Order: sequence, then C-alpha cells, then structure tokens
Amino acid sequence: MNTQQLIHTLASDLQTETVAARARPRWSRLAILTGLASLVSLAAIVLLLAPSPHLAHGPGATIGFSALAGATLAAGAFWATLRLSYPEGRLGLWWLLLPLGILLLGLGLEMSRTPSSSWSARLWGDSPGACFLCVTALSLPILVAALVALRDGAPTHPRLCGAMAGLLAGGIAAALYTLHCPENSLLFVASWHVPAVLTVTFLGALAAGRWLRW
Amino acid sequence: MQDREQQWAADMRAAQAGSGEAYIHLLESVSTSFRQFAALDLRRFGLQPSDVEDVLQEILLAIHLKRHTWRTDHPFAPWLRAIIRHKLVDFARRRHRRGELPLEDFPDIHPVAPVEPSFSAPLRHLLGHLPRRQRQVVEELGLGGASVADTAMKLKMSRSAVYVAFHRGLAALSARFERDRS
Repeated sequence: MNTQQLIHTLASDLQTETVAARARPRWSRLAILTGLASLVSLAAIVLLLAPSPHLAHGPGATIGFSALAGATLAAGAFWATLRLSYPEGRLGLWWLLLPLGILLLGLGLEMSRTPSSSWSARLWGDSPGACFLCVTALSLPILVAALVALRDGAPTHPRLCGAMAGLLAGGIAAALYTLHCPENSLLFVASWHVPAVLTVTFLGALAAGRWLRW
Repeated sequence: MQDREQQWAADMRAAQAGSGEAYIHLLESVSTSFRQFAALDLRRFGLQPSDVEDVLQEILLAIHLKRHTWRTDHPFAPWLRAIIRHKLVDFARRRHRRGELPLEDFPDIHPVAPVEPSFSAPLRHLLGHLPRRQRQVVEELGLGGASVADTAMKLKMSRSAVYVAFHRGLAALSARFERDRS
C-alpha cells in the first residue's frame, strides 16, 4: 500500500466512524470508570470489613488527616493521569506537595502530642500486613478501571501515565480504607498505607507498559 | 509556521466534523512536511533514509486512530510532534529488535514495487509466514475484499486493530517478498 492509498483509505474510514462520540471530554470517562470501581471497593469495605472503632466518636485526627491526604493525592493524580493521556502531555508533580504536606503535618501533630516511647507501638500497630494488603487489594479494581479508561487515550509515556493511575487508585483506596482501619495512628498510616500506595503505583506502571501501548 | 499550524488545526477541525476532503488535505500536508525533515529525524533514531515511507505510514495511521485525542482548543503542532516522536521511537525499537539489516548495505538489491494484494500462489505461500492475526486480516481485506468494518466484526477485533494488522501485515509481506527474490 503506498502512502497516497493509505491516506484515501483513512479518509474513507473517517465518514463511517462517529468521532463526535469519542471526542467527548476525556475526563468524564476516567471519572466515571474510576468512580464506579471506587464504589466496588467501598462496597467491599462496608460489606466485608468491620467499621473502624474510631468512627464511633466522629472522625478523629488520624482518620481526618489520612482521608484528606488520600483524597488530595487522588485528585492530583487524576489531573496528572489525564494530562499524560494526551500525546503531548507532560508530567506534573507539584501537587504531590499537598498530600505529603497534609500527612507530614498530621504526623508532626501526633508526634508532638504522644510520648516518644509509644511511637514504636503506634508504628507497628496490630495488623500491619493486613492493612498493607487491604489497601493494595482495594486499589486494584480502581487501577484496572482507570487503565481501561486510558486505553482510549494516547499516552506517549505509558509507564508514567500508568504510575499516575496507580497513585489515583491508591489515593482513593487509602481514603476509603480509613472507614475500616482499626489503627489510630498516622505513624502507622505512613509506614503501611503509603508503601501500599507505592506498590500500586509500581503495578500501574508495569501494567500500563503493556496495556497502554499504541 | 504560524500559517501551517492554523491550516492544520482548521483541517483537523473540519475532519472531525466529517470532511474527508479536509482530512486528505491535512494528511498530505503532514506527509510533505514530514518528508522534508525526515532525514534528520530518521538518522537520530538510527533509521535509514529508505524507511521514510514506512515510518510516515505508521504516523498517519496513528494520527487516524488517535485523532480524537486532539483537543480543538489546543495547538495542533505539539500534538503532532508528540505522535511523530512516539512512532519514530516505536519503529526504531521494533526494527532493532528484529535485527533487520538496512537495504543500503546491499547495493545490488533494488527496492521492488510494493506488493499488490493480488494473491497468486507464491503470495499465498508468503502469507503463511505472517502471524495469525495479520494473515487473517490481510486475507479478509486483500483477498476477500471485505470492508474494514466487516473484518473487524468477523475477527472480533477493533477497527484500529484491523488497520494496524493490515498495515503491518502488508509491510512484512513486502519485506519478505524482497528477501525471497534476492
């Protein structure tokens, strides 16, 4: 097939395909799919896991800070993922300062209010492995949904785009997981939830390297 | 430069609204401009000057398959440049993985006309060497004369996948055809 023929074939295909339908704002697709998957994760938490004992007296500092950090992480990562889903999109990371700042602020507050002798017990908690696995597992449906939405895009840095989708999924899952997490310390959150989010980020990059190629 | 950007953007907007004419104009203009500067780009990615049409076709295909990712309120040139770069990298990676030797190293081999899908016995034999998907698509589209939409439905592939398989299949066929003749 010579180039001229190809151009005419593509042009004749133009008429038969409804671009208008695919050209709707891309954020809506990503938002809808990740939103639906988040509901799946939320349902899993509500139906399968016991509610956090700390919720009984209203959300305390731990839940407040970690939910806020997770939510801002997800919001920033959503923006970064969307940006990278366009061919000319570049990576922006300044927004990471927000969730990091929130987490560090909460950590500082907690450590200033608790005796240093209790830090080790707070950091390890009672269920480090379970929480790590839960946050990772709850992120997976959201990550898959985000990657499905992104297949329609054209990321020229698929791994980075997948990593951002991983942060998005991890942020949502970490925020939702506060509804269950039996631990009441940000030291615990920083040492177990954060690595879980990073694991999902890595998985996202790995999967996107295969799935998002075009 | 500025004129070209505006022309491209206008053509693409018209194309997205369904104008085949504007689309052909756009793709031809992009081809001309790519050929102009291709030598430098190809060398930078370790490709040969003879690769220009193959790479260009991959780029045109990518523009077509991803045209919905251009936002009408954004400049067209950066979008295009990103796609061109991506396809150059992709092409170079595939080329180097296959360990193909550039034709230039064999001055006695002259490039032959691209294979027309007329499918004589030797071509049928060549078809056997293609990966299954590519073979099926080339058979359906080229031999059977089916439309892209029908082929996509029959093979349960997306239209984009059919395009890509057809294009790569033909490219592989013509490469093998040349090798067998030499």
